[in-house]
Amino acid sequence: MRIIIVGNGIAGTITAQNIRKLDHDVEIIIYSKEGYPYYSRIKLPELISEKVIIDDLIVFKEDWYKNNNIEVQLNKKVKKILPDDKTIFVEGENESVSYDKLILATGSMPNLLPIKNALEMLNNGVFTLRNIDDALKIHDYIKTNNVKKAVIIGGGLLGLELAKQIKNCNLDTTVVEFFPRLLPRQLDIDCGGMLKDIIENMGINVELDAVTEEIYVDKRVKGIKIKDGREVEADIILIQAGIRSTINLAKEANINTNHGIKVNQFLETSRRDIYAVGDCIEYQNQTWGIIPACIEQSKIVSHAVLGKDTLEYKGTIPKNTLKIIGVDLTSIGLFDPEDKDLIGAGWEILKNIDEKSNCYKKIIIKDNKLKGAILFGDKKAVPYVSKNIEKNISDYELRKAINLYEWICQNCGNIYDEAKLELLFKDLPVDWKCKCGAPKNTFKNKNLN
Amino acid sequence: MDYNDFNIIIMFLLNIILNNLKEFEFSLLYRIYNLKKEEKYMAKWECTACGYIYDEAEEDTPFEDLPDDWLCPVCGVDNNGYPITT
Repeated sequence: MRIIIVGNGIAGTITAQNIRKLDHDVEIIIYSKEGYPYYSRIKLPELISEKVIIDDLIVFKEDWYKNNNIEVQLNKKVKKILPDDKTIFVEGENESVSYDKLILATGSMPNLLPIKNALEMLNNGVFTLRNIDDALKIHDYIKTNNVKKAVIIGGGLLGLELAKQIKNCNLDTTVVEFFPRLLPRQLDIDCGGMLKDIIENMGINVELDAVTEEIYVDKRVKGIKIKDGREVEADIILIQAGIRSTINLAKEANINTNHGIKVNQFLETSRRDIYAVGDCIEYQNQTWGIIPACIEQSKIVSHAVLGKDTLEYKGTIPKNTLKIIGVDLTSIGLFDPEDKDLIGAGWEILKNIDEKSNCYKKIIIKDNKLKGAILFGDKKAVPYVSKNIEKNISDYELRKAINLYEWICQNCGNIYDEAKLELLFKDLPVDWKCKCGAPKNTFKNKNLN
Repeated sequence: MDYNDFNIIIMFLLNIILNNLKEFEFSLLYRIYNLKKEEKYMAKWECTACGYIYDEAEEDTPFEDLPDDWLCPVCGVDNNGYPITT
């Protein structure tokens, strides 16, 4: 049996790895339009700032493919699928290649916003960042054009990670975000404010509530105009405003698509023996575009192509980590139940805010089930929360994981619950007293003893 | 420096004095001392898939001693991480 995988990103590669673990003999061929074996996209910003070289990015080198008996065809763009013949065509080659099972892992591409002059100046002062070639283009443009000021459009994870490395290139750096806070898809307004302070302390300017309307051009890029009249000067503009699934190849083969390639619970597309995995899929009207989803889906699809239909995809709980050295931030699941009326009806929000050490931990619980969390400034609780998301949790273990305790007065039995009050017990003034008049040191930690 | 380090250094110095800086003993002890130091080195491991950093200084278990079925707590991948320096 021959399995062909289109795309050599994380979803395609981990799928190949999983298939090989399940079956030693099946033939696996990966086609990639890029010229590099599987590399880490999350490190692309560091390529621009010269913190790493291309070789550092490569996760699986040639010997990995050889040891796992996986064939990888680089610089080979698949241009056409004939689902009825079960063949594909590669650009520049006349002969078709046949498959028994085809897996589309075509990934996603950056959103190019409808900003005046953005398309005209693309790759000439305006850039997006998705692959090694993009990073090299940005790097070269900065080096050869005496670039002093940079604007990053998009204050999401990718935008901030890029901004940090652009700042490391010693450029005057500004992040422009459409929403009134940074990381709108991962943070609530309080935590967004704390993050903004940290980002600004790194010397990065932040413009919020900013809809970029136009890119000023005078032969070269000069800056941007924001809808409310603000202007920011820039010699280079980097757009990191989300991604969209790459669906062209599937669409042209008459495979059902919407925002992504539509799949069922086994990650099968609408055509027989064609599957899809990763950023390019749409399942139950949802697309993902996050690494944990790629990993989870690659397990499902590898079972499915081998006819082991035992695993069913149920969607992936959103989980994101900001990858800036010195800032620990993970956001999982539901982080901001907006309807205030919900609070009380089985919903519980626990917060541990320590502004002095820039710590913000928020846990969302419904009917004793962990529904989501923001963990900022302290990643010790990340494994606990990841493991227990959507599961019933014990109060004791949760409190231990996020260091929120109940303190009990030895005198009158009054309980000071840090989870429900603004101040942590340790931050109460020394002369603070219990309702019964007992001093602070009369209290004992109820959970730890 | 903790109590163990202190002990090793005292032993080291005492031995140097007792052995009157005999060249052979010196090099052997010196090597043992360095080995002890290496054992205590706390590495940072970065997940090859998602970039999650496993910092041995903050965890109870050295990365190499984690069970084989250990998964990255953020992305769930079961690849080995690789050491990084920051």
